[in-house]
Amino acid sequence: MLVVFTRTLILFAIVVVTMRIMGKRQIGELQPFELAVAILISELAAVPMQNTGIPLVNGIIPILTLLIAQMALSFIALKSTKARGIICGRPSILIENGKIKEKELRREMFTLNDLLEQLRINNTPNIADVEFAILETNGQLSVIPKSQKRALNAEDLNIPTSYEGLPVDLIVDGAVSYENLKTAGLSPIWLRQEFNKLGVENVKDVLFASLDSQGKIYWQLKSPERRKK
Amino acid sequence: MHTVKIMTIIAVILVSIFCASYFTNTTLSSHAQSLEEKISVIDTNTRKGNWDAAEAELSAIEEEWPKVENIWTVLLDHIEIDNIDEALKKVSEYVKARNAPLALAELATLKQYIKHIPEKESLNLKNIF
Repeated sequence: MLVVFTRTLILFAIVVVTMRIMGKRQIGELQPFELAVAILISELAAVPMQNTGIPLVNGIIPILTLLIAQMALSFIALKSTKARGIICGRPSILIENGKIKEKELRREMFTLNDLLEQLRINNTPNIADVEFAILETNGQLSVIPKSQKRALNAEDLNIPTSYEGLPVDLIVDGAVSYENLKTAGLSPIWLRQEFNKLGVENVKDVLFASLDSQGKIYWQLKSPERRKK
Repeated sequence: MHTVKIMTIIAVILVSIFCASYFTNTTLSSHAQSLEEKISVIDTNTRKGNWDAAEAELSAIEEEWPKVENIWTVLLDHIEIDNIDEALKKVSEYVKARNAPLALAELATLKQYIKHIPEKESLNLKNIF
Protein backbone atom coordinates (compact mmCIF):
# COMPACT_ATOMS: atom_id res chain seq x y z
CA MET A 1 0.00 0.00 0.00
CA LEU A 2 2.81 2.38 0.86
CA VAL A 3 4.43 1.45 -2.44
CA VAL A 4 1.39 2.72 -4.34
CA PHE A 5 1.31 5.80 -2.13
CA THR A 6 4.97 6.63 -2.78
CA ARG A 7 4.74 6.00 -6.52
CA THR A 8 1.67 8.22 -6.72
CA LEU A 9 3.45 11.06 -4.93
CA ILE A 10 6.50 10.78 -7.18
CA LEU A 11 4.43 10.75 -10.37
CA PHE A 12 2.23 13.58 -9.10
CA ALA A 13 5.32 15.71 -8.42
CA ILE A 14 6.67 14.96 -11.88
CA VAL A 15 3.36 15.83 -13.56
CA VAL A 16 3.08 19.12 -11.62
CA VAL A 17 6.67 20.09 -12.46
CA THR A 18 6.10 19.14 -16.11
CA MET A 19 2.94 21.25 -16.32
CA ARG A 20 4.76 24.17 -14.72
CA ILE A 21 7.64 23.93 -17.15
CA MET A 22 5.18 23.81 -20.05
CA GLY A 23 3.86 27.17 -18.91
CA LYS A 24 0.61 28.85 -17.84
CA ARG A 25 -0.97 28.36 -21.26
CA GLN A 26 -1.11 24.64 -20.60
CA ILE A 27 -3.49 25.17 -17.74
CA GLY A 28 -5.50 27.93 -19.41
CA GLU A 29 -6.46 27.95 -23.06
CA LEU A 30 -5.00 25.05 -24.94
CA GLN A 31 -3.88 24.65 -28.50
CA PRO A 32 -4.81 21.25 -30.04
CA PHE A 33 -1.34 19.75 -29.57
CA GLU A 34 -1.20 21.09 -26.00
CA LEU A 35 -4.53 19.44 -25.21
CA ALA A 36 -3.20 16.16 -26.63
CA VAL A 37 -0.10 16.44 -24.45
CA ALA A 38 -2.11 17.23 -21.30
CA ILE A 39 -4.37 14.22 -21.81
CA LEU A 40 -1.45 11.92 -22.63
CA ILE A 41 0.53 13.01 -19.58
CA SER A 42 -2.35 12.30 -17.24
CA GLU A 43 -2.88 8.84 -18.78
CA LEU A 44 0.84 8.06 -18.66
CA ALA A 45 1.04 9.02 -15.00
CA ALA A 46 -2.08 7.07 -14.02
CA VAL A 47 -0.95 3.68 -15.34
CA PRO A 48 2.23 3.22 -13.25
CA MET A 49 0.44 4.80 -10.27
CA GLN A 50 -1.98 1.90 -10.13
CA ASN A 51 0.13 -0.92 -11.52
CA THR A 52 3.16 -1.48 -9.30
CA GLY A 53 4.40 -4.14 -11.75
CA ILE A 54 5.36 -1.43 -14.21
CA PRO A 55 8.67 0.25 -13.43
CA LEU A 56 8.28 3.91 -12.50
CA VAL A 57 10.79 4.78 -15.17
CA ASN A 58 8.26 3.59 -17.79
CA GLY A 59 5.98 6.42 -16.71
CA ILE A 60 8.64 9.07 -16.18
CA ILE A 61 10.45 8.72 -19.52
CA PRO A 62 7.29 9.14 -21.68
CA ILE A 63 6.27 12.17 -19.62
CA LEU A 64 9.69 13.78 -20.11
CA THR A 65 9.58 12.89 -23.80
CA LEU A 66 6.21 14.61 -24.17
CA LEU A 67 7.53 17.60 -22.27
CA ILE A 68 10.44 18.12 -24.64
CA ALA A 69 8.27 17.42 -27.69
CA GLN A 70 5.75 20.01 -26.54
CA MET A 71 8.47 22.54 -25.73
CA ALA A 72 10.08 21.97 -29.12
CA LEU A 73 6.76 22.44 -30.95
CA SER A 74 5.91 25.54 -28.94
CA PHE A 75 9.35 26.96 -29.65
CA ILE A 76 9.03 26.28 -33.39
CA ALA A 77 5.54 27.82 -33.41
CA LEU A 78 6.96 30.88 -31.63
CA LYS A 79 9.79 31.37 -34.12
CA SER A 80 7.98 30.60 -37.39
CA THR A 81 4.60 31.98 -38.48
CA LYS A 82 4.33 29.35 -41.20
CA ALA A 83 5.05 26.54 -38.75
CA ARG A 84 2.54 28.04 -36.32
CA GLY A 85 -0.11 27.84 -39.02
CA ILE A 86 0.63 24.15 -39.50
CA ILE A 87 0.99 23.23 -35.82
CA CYS A 88 -1.74 25.40 -34.30
CA GLY A 89 -3.90 26.16 -37.32
CA ARG A 90 -5.25 29.59 -38.20
CA PRO A 91 -8.21 31.50 -36.78
CA SER A 92 -11.37 31.24 -38.88
CA ILE A 93 -13.72 34.12 -39.47
CA LEU A 94 -17.24 32.75 -39.08
CA ILE A 95 -19.06 36.08 -39.26
CA GLU A 96 -17.55 38.81 -41.39
CA ASN A 97 -19.02 42.28 -41.65
CA GLY A 98 -22.24 40.99 -40.13
CA LYS A 99 -22.65 38.11 -42.59
CA ILE A 100 -22.39 34.43 -41.64
CA LYS A 101 -19.73 32.69 -43.70
CA GLU A 102 -21.36 29.35 -44.50
CA LYS A 103 -18.29 27.89 -46.13
CA GLU A 104 -16.15 28.54 -43.04
CA LEU A 105 -18.81 27.09 -40.77
CA ARG A 106 -18.91 23.90 -42.82
CA ARG A 107 -15.12 23.72 -42.98
CA GLU A 108 -14.84 24.03 -39.22
CA MET A 109 -17.78 21.64 -38.71
CA PHE A 110 -19.32 24.33 -36.57
CA THR A 111 -23.11 24.24 -36.68
CA LEU A 112 -25.31 27.32 -36.50
CA ASN A 113 -26.50 26.12 -33.11
CA ASP A 114 -22.89 25.97 -31.88
CA LEU A 115 -22.38 29.49 -33.20
CA LEU A 116 -25.49 30.85 -31.49
CA GLU A 117 -24.52 29.12 -28.25
CA GLN A 118 -21.08 30.67 -28.28
CA LEU A 119 -22.54 34.09 -29.07
CA ARG A 120 -24.84 33.82 -26.06
CA ILE A 121 -21.88 32.77 -23.88
CA ASN A 122 -20.09 35.88 -25.15
CA ASN A 123 -23.01 38.06 -24.01
CA THR A 124 -24.15 38.74 -27.55
CA PRO A 125 -27.45 36.88 -27.82
CA ASN A 126 -28.52 38.75 -30.96
CA ILE A 127 -26.55 37.67 -34.03
CA ALA A 128 -27.59 40.90 -35.74
CA ASP A 129 -25.33 42.78 -33.28
CA VAL A 130 -22.21 40.94 -34.37
CA GLU A 131 -19.73 42.48 -36.79
CA PHE A 132 -17.08 39.75 -36.60
CA ALA A 133 -17.01 36.35 -34.96
CA ILE A 134 -13.65 34.61 -35.09
CA LEU A 135 -13.07 31.00 -34.12
CA GLU A 136 -9.61 31.02 -32.54
CA THR A 137 -7.12 28.18 -32.75
CA ASN A 138 -7.83 27.18 -29.16
CA GLY A 139 -11.53 26.67 -29.96
CA GLN A 140 -12.79 29.86 -28.34
CA LEU A 141 -15.01 32.23 -30.25
CA SER A 142 -14.04 35.91 -30.22
CA VAL A 143 -16.96 38.25 -30.83
CA ILE A 144 -16.56 41.81 -32.04
CA PRO A 145 -19.89 43.62 -31.85
CA LYS A 146 -21.02 46.28 -34.28
CA SER A 147 -19.79 49.71 -33.28
CA GLN A 148 -23.30 50.87 -32.37
CA LYS A 149 -23.83 47.84 -30.17
CA ARG A 150 -20.60 47.75 -28.25
CA ALA A 151 -20.31 48.92 -24.67
CA LEU A 152 -20.10 52.64 -24.15
CA ASN A 153 -16.79 53.98 -22.95
CA ALA A 154 -15.47 57.30 -21.63
CA GLU A 155 -14.01 58.27 -24.99
CA ASP A 156 -17.48 58.07 -26.60
CA LEU A 157 -18.78 60.62 -24.10
CA ASN A 158 -15.64 62.78 -24.23
CA ILE A 159 -15.08 62.26 -20.54
CA PRO A 160 -11.45 62.66 -19.50
CA THR A 161 -10.16 59.88 -17.28
CA SER A 162 -7.06 59.57 -15.17
CA TYR A 163 -4.60 56.73 -15.46
CA GLU A 164 -5.74 53.53 -13.75
CA GLY A 165 -2.87 51.23 -13.06
CA LEU A 166 -2.86 47.83 -11.47
CA PRO A 167 -3.68 47.75 -7.77
CA VAL A 168 -0.71 46.75 -5.67
CA ASP A 169 -1.12 43.96 -3.13
CA LEU A 170 0.36 45.22 0.11
CA ILE A 171 -0.68 42.49 2.54
CA VAL A 172 -1.81 38.97 1.73
CA ASP A 173 -2.99 36.80 4.62
CA GLY A 174 -1.07 38.83 7.17
CA ALA A 175 2.19 38.77 5.21
CA VAL A 176 3.47 42.15 4.04
CA SER A 177 4.69 42.16 0.46
CA TYR A 178 7.91 44.15 0.81
CA GLU A 179 8.67 43.74 -2.87
CA ASN A 180 5.38 45.37 -3.86
CA LEU A 181 5.89 48.16 -1.33
CA LYS A 182 9.29 48.85 -2.88
CA THR A 183 7.81 48.81 -6.41
CA ALA A 184 5.19 51.34 -5.29
CA GLY A 185 7.92 53.50 -3.74
CA LEU A 186 6.54 53.03 -0.24
CA SER A 187 8.05 51.86 2.99
CA PRO A 188 6.94 49.44 5.73
CA ILE A 189 6.90 52.42 8.13
CA TRP A 190 4.39 54.21 5.91
CA LEU A 191 2.27 51.03 5.86
CA ARG A 192 2.25 50.74 9.65
CA GLN A 193 1.39 54.44 9.99
CA GLU A 194 -1.49 54.15 7.54
CA PHE A 195 -2.92 51.17 9.36
CA ASN A 196 -2.47 52.85 12.72
CA LYS A 197 -4.63 55.68 11.38
CA LEU A 198 -7.22 53.04 10.42
CA GLY A 199 -7.12 51.64 13.95
CA VAL A 200 -5.12 48.52 13.15
CA GLU A 201 -2.20 48.03 15.54
CA ASN A 202 -0.73 44.90 14.02
CA VAL A 203 -0.57 44.52 10.23
CA LYS A 204 -0.37 40.76 10.69
CA ASP A 205 -4.09 40.90 11.59
CA VAL A 206 -4.93 42.14 8.10
CA LEU A 207 -6.27 39.48 5.74
CA PHE A 208 -5.77 41.50 2.60
CA ALA A 209 -4.80 45.04 1.71
CA SER A 210 -4.23 46.60 -1.68
CA LEU A 211 -3.47 50.09 -2.91
CA ASP A 212 -5.01 51.44 -6.10
CA SER A 213 -3.48 54.04 -8.42
CA GLN A 214 -5.60 56.74 -6.75
CA GLY A 215 -3.88 56.01 -3.44
CA LYS A 216 -6.91 54.41 -1.82
CA ILE A 217 -6.36 51.40 0.38
CA TYR A 218 -8.77 48.48 0.28
CA TRP A 219 -8.33 46.36 3.39
CA GLN A 220 -9.99 43.68 5.42
CA LEU A 221 -9.09 42.18 8.79
CA LYS A 222 -8.82 38.46 9.45
CA SER A 223 -11.63 36.77 11.34
CA PRO A 224 -11.38 37.40 15.13
CA GLU A 225 -10.14 33.91 16.02
CA ARG A 226 -7.25 34.23 13.58
CA ARG A 227 -6.01 37.56 14.83
CA LYS A 228 -2.94 37.63 17.06
CA LYS A 229 -3.70 38.39 20.70
CA MET B 1 17.61 34.35 -22.89
CA HIS B 2 14.26 32.58 -23.02
CA THR B 3 15.42 30.71 -26.14
CA VAL B 4 18.59 29.61 -24.38
CA LYS B 5 16.56 28.42 -21.38
CA ILE B 6 14.24 26.32 -23.56
CA MET B 7 17.07 24.87 -25.63
CA THR B 8 19.01 24.05 -22.47
CA ILE B 9 16.08 22.25 -20.85
CA ILE B 10 15.41 20.26 -24.03
CA ALA B 11 19.09 19.41 -24.43
CA VAL B 12 19.53 18.36 -20.80
CA ILE B 13 16.49 16.07 -20.87
CA LEU B 14 17.43 14.57 -24.26
CA VAL B 15 21.02 13.89 -23.20
CA SER B 16 19.81 12.39 -19.89
CA ILE B 17 17.40 10.08 -21.70
CA PHE B 18 20.03 8.95 -24.21
CA CYS B 19 22.67 8.42 -21.53
CA ALA B 20 20.22 6.53 -19.31
CA SER B 21 19.19 4.41 -22.28
CA TYR B 22 22.79 3.58 -23.17
CA PHE B 23 23.55 2.76 -19.54
CA THR B 24 20.43 0.57 -19.30
CA ASN B 25 21.24 -1.40 -22.45
CA THR B 26 24.87 -1.87 -21.47
CA THR B 27 23.98 -2.96 -17.95
CA LEU B 28 21.25 -5.35 -19.06
CA SER B 29 23.49 -6.90 -21.73
CA SER B 30 26.45 -7.42 -19.42
CA HIS B 31 24.34 -8.88 -16.61
CA ALA B 32 22.46 -11.13 -19.02
CA GLN B 33 25.69 -12.35 -20.59
CA SER B 34 27.20 -13.15 -17.21
CA LEU B 35 24.13 -15.11 -16.12
CA GLU B 36 23.86 -16.92 -19.46
CA GLU B 37 27.49 -18.06 -19.22
CA LYS B 38 26.86 -19.54 -15.79
CA ILE B 39 23.65 -21.21 -17.03
CA SER B 40 25.61 -22.74 -19.94
CA VAL B 41 28.12 -24.18 -17.47
CA ILE B 42 25.29 -25.69 -15.38
CA ASP B 43 23.76 -27.07 -18.57
CA THR B 44 27.02 -28.71 -19.64
CA ASN B 45 27.63 -30.18 -16.18
CA THR B 46 24.06 -31.47 -15.97
CA ARG B 47 24.39 -33.23 -19.33
CA LYS B 48 27.65 -34.83 -18.19
CA GLY B 49 26.19 -35.76 -14.81
CA ASN B 50 28.63 -33.52 -12.88
CA TRP B 51 26.07 -32.55 -10.26
CA ASP B 52 28.53 -31.08 -7.75
CA ALA B 53 29.96 -28.72 -10.36
CA ALA B 54 26.43 -27.87 -11.49
CA GLU B 55 25.40 -27.08 -7.92
CA ALA B 56 28.49 -24.92 -7.38
CA GLU B 57 27.70 -22.89 -10.48
CA LEU B 58 24.07 -22.67 -9.40
CA SER B 59 25.21 -21.20 -6.06
CA ALA B 60 27.20 -18.61 -7.99
CA ILE B 61 24.05 -17.60 -9.90
CA GLU B 62 22.01 -17.52 -6.70
CA GLU B 63 24.61 -15.19 -5.22
CA GLU B 64 24.73 -12.94 -8.28
CA TRP B 65 21.02 -12.83 -9.01
CA PRO B 66 19.84 -10.69 -6.02
CA LYS B 67 22.32 -7.92 -6.94
CA VAL B 68 21.22 -8.06 -10.59
CA GLU B 69 17.57 -8.21 -9.53
CA ASN B 70 17.84 -4.96 -7.56
CA ILE B 71 18.95 -3.13 -10.70
CA TRP B 72 16.65 -4.94 -13.14
CA THR B 73 13.58 -4.27 -10.97
CA VAL B 74 14.00 -0.54 -11.57
CA LEU B 75 14.29 -0.96 -15.33
CA LEU B 76 12.01 -3.83 -16.31
CA ASP B 77 8.45 -5.02 -15.91
CA HIS B 78 8.28 -6.89 -12.64
CA ILE B 79 6.67 -9.86 -14.29
CA GLU B 80 9.95 -10.51 -16.14
CA ILE B 81 11.76 -10.61 -12.80
CA ASP B 82 9.10 -12.90 -11.35
CA ASN B 83 9.49 -15.29 -14.30
CA ILE B 84 13.24 -15.48 -13.78
CA ASP B 85 12.79 -15.98 -10.02
CA GLU B 86 10.39 -18.82 -10.64
CA ALA B 87 12.57 -20.53 -13.25
CA LEU B 88 15.66 -20.19 -11.06
CA LYS B 89 13.82 -21.77 -8.14
CA LYS B 90 12.77 -24.70 -10.30
CA VAL B 91 16.30 -25.17 -11.67
CA SER B 92 17.65 -25.18 -8.12
CA GLU B 93 15.24 -27.90 -7.02
CA TYR B 94 15.72 -30.06 -10.11
CA VAL B 95 19.51 -29.88 -9.81
CA LYS B 96 19.38 -30.73 -6.10
CA ALA B 97 17.09 -33.65 -6.95
CA ARG B 98 19.52 -34.63 -9.75
CA ASN B 99 16.69 -34.76 -12.27
CA ALA B 100 18.49 -34.15 -15.55
CA PRO B 101 15.57 -33.91 -18.04
CA LEU B 102 13.57 -31.46 -15.93
CA ALA B 103 16.70 -29.50 -14.96
CA LEU B 104 17.74 -29.14 -18.60
CA ALA B 105 14.25 -28.04 -19.66
CA GLU B 106 14.05 -25.45 -16.91
CA LEU B 107 17.61 -24.26 -17.65
CA ALA B 108 16.59 -23.68 -21.26
CA THR B 109 13.56 -21.70 -20.05
CA LEU B 110 15.69 -19.66 -17.64
CA LYS B 111 18.24 -18.95 -20.34
CA GLN B 112 15.51 -17.81 -22.70
CA TYR B 113 13.95 -15.49 -20.06
CA ILE B 114 17.33 -13.89 -19.42
CA LYS B 115 18.44 -13.79 -23.06
CA HIS B 116 15.32 -12.01 -24.25
CA ILE B 117 15.66 -9.16 -21.73
CA PRO B 118 18.37 -7.13 -23.54
CA GLU B 119 16.76 -8.11 -26.89
CA LYS B 120 13.44 -6.72 -25.70
CA GLU B 121 14.96 -3.46 -24.51
CA SER B 122 17.11 -2.72 -27.55
CA LEU B 123 16.12 -0.10 -30.11
CA ASN B 124 14.88 -1.83 -33.25
CA LEU B 125 11.85 -1.79 -35.51
CA LYS B 126 10.43 -4.95 -34.01
CA ASN B 127 10.39 -3.45 -30.52
CA ILE B 128 9.06 -0.10 -31.69
CA PHE B 129 6.15 -1.64 -33.57
